[in-house]
Amino acid sequence: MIRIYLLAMVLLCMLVSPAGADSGKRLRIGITLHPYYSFVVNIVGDRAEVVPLIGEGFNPHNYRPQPADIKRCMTLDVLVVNGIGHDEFATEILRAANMEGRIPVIQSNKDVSLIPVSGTLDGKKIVNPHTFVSVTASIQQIYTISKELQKLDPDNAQEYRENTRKYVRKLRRMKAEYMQRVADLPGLDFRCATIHGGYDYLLQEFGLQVTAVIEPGHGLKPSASQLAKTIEKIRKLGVEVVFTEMNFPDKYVDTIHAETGVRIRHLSHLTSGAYTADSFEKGIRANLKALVDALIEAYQLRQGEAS
Amino acid sequence: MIMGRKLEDMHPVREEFVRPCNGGSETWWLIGCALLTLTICSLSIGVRKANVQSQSLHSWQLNAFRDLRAEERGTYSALYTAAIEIDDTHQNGDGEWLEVSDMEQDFVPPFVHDAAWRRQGKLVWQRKLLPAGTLDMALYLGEPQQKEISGSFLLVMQHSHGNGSGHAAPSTHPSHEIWYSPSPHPRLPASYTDQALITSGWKEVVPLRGRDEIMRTKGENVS
Repeated sequence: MIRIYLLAMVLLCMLVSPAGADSGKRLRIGITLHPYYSFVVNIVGDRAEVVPLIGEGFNPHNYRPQPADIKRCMTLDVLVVNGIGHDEFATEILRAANMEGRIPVIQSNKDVSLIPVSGTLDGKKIVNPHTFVSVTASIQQIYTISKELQKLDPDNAQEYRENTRKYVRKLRRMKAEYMQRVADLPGLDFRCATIHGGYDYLLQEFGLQVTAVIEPGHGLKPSASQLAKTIEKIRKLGVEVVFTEMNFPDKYVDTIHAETGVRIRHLSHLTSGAYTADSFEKGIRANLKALVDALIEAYQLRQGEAS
Repeated sequence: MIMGRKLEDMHPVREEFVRPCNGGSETWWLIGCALLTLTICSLSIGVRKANVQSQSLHSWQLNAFRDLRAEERGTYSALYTAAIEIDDTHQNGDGEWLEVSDMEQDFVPPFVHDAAWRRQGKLVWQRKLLPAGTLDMALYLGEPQQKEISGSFLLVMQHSHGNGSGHAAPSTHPSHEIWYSPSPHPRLPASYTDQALITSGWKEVVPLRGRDEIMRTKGENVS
């Protein structure tokens, strides 16, 4: 009787345990930036472990690797990176941990069609690495990451493929909600400036372009003469709104506002806060809302001026 | 005279030429080193530039990053991502190519009629299927209603069904290509080979991908 009971218990355990657990240990997938945490968690669900390479609360732009990062890196099976900017620290950590070439590195942007930073003072076409501050370019990256993970973890490939489709559909529906709000606005000549070149992919979703970028380079403060040129450009081109970074007040934005009277609105770079499965959705939703609100406001002001 | 001897005889004068210790030669060495450093740097930059220039295009190709207008680039980027989804559905679904109306309902740009679609020339899309032997092809043609904003785009999806053994047979041809014509009503060739499209006035649009940028900036080849 006891034997039958034990056999039944073993069979029950085999039935309820997840497939991934049967075929060995779960993959430990490292990520470098917040959006990639959300992307990977939504692809793998509970079939793999997602590990941020660096802790919360650090600015990835000027991050210096810590001993704990190197230790963490040594436990990873694969690393997912942006690869074209923002996570240069990943290469340093891989080298320091002697893991370079020993674990696969998924370059999320390898197949993304890149666009230039628009509105630069000198008009030069510089590659824009902020592909994760958008829905469409993020979807492309989600497919790339998913495909690579399916190859590395074939036992869970079907699950990853289905999760990817669901997540992509969810993101697209979220974007459609906001596109719906501006569906009835007639072709509006909306002119905006941004604090840095981080929002071109987002604006492209709406068929918009940035008229002027204030920082001469990402993270570089403009000099007095550059600021004067930007103010002149904002006046000359009739810029209505400046989108600045959320939680990063800058004196020169106040100067621009005082000099030109242009409205100031906030967008998020999506690379701060806690690493959560829905942090990308929350961040991009806030950005879509800010942009749609600014468009509606610009339209209403034009209507008020016309009447 | 000291004790009948001249001072010179007691201590003969010895002449020796002593160079002034004013750092003259060090200055020349420093200038030499600086020139050598500059020469090495200039040569290195030259070699690096040569790598970038190696990504040259054929006369029948356009670079999406450099050659398209911002509105057209928006359509191209969306179409490029949509192609991945169309291919994924074809490979992992029941072998069907997605309908334009399905993508419109699923909010897939550039097929959905949203604010971006209106700003980017209001392209009207149609799908054409071309089953031809072992190569399964679908064409998605988008013609603008506002020709001053955008030209026409043609997404060519193709899939090899080698030996009739399913959808995933390997092929040397890319699964999708995007072609551009400045005409709002471009001429479509009888067959959809590269040569036929080129002869009909189409140009293939080549993206600047993340892998190209990684190669340019880090010299790494991403597979």
